[in-house]
Amino acid sequence: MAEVASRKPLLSKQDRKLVSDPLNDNNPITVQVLGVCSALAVTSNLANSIVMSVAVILVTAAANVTISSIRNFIPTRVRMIVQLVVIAALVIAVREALQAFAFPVYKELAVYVGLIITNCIVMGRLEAFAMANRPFPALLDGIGNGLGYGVILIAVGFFRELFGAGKLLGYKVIPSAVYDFGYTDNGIMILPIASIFLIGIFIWVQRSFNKDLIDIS
Amino acid sequence: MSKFNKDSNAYTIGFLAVLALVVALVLGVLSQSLKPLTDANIKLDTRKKILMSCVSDPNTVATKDEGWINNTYENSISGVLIDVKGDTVSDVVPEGSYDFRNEVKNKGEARQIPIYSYTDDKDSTYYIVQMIGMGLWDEINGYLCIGSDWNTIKGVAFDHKGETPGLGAELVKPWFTSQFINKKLFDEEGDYAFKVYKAGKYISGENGVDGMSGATLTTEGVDMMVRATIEMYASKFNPVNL
Repeated sequence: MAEVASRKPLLSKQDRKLVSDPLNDNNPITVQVLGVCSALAVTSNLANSIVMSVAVILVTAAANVTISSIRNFIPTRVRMIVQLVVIAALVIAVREALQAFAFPVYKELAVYVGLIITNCIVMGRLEAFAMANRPFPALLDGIGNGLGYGVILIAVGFFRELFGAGKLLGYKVIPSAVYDFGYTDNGIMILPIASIFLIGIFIWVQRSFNKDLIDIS
Repeated sequence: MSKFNKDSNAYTIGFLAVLALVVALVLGVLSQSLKPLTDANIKLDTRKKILMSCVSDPNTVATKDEGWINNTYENSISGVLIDVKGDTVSDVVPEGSYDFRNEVKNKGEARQIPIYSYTDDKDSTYYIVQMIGMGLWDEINGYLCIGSDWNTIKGVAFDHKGETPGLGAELVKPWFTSQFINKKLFDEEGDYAFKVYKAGKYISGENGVDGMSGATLTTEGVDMMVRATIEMYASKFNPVNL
């Protein structure tokens, strides 16, 4: 790492791109269309979206670093099994740690933590990036993709909780005066189907701003 | 890296064996070293849930610290185990080792089930029974606190393992649990009349509560769980007609 640092600053332009790219041009959900299943399932309120995003950022970053450090020793034929074992071990470790140190949080998200194992983004980054790059860029790539996923999740959770329950993070934000005028919460926003619509709208909006994306997929 | 053949069978098997060993060792050590903390958390959580079912302001329990919970629990709650006939078989409920799920699911008529008694600051006594049932995806459970008439509900506390967030998982929320307070399990003839209605179907009356919107099966699960609890504790509730 020392010689690398002398050649370029700690966060070079390429390094920054590793983090910023997945936020827009290469967003795992809206561009690569990965990890959609969990984006549908866990976004019924904002708090769950935030917690899931943080957990996925941790797991993608840690798994990327681990796989990248042992990439030269992994036999090619079983590389995916090795990746899965690493992801599963990390997820179980996160679960155990939460259970011991943050029990209330654990009770809220025990269901989702297990879901991270099946998140295509984590394995996708291991296969596409960590297997061919050094640990530090892999760490940035993991954080970047976790963030790209998290941004969409939080946006979906924001709109679903706001229009589905009139709340944000459990607090009522739509004033009762509005309800007196005949406004009602939209029940469909609580259902997973609403995320499909929202993600579709996000993809549409993103593409209308970012013309580069239009012919990619 | 060119000294050994990374794709030979022997290396592949050896690598996986080492990986499996390392991962198993790390996770085993982690799990065992965190077990005392986890067990303490589970015990505290159980006490918290029992208190939430019976105290007059359940929502504040969640904000209290460990000392308050243990103190209040030890001062106001005591538990016994009863058998199917309703006779006391143990003067304490062994915390940590007592497995309600196993007793209910596997022991049949030989089961021993807990009854806690709660004495409030006005010296009224209430009884707390434990519940277990099925939601949509997995187990739901909880505690039901009942007045000494074995009819008027003092409060409930629910928990679940895997209900859908925002839908079935709403069963733990105050808007749902607070509806149970002061409702009656039996009608004037003594018949079991309590019902958790499908969302929106409950209008009024002292024998019902409104269910969770978008979670019909979890709502039915709660309804069945309450009924099953009355059956299980029939020696105490003495239902005329279930």
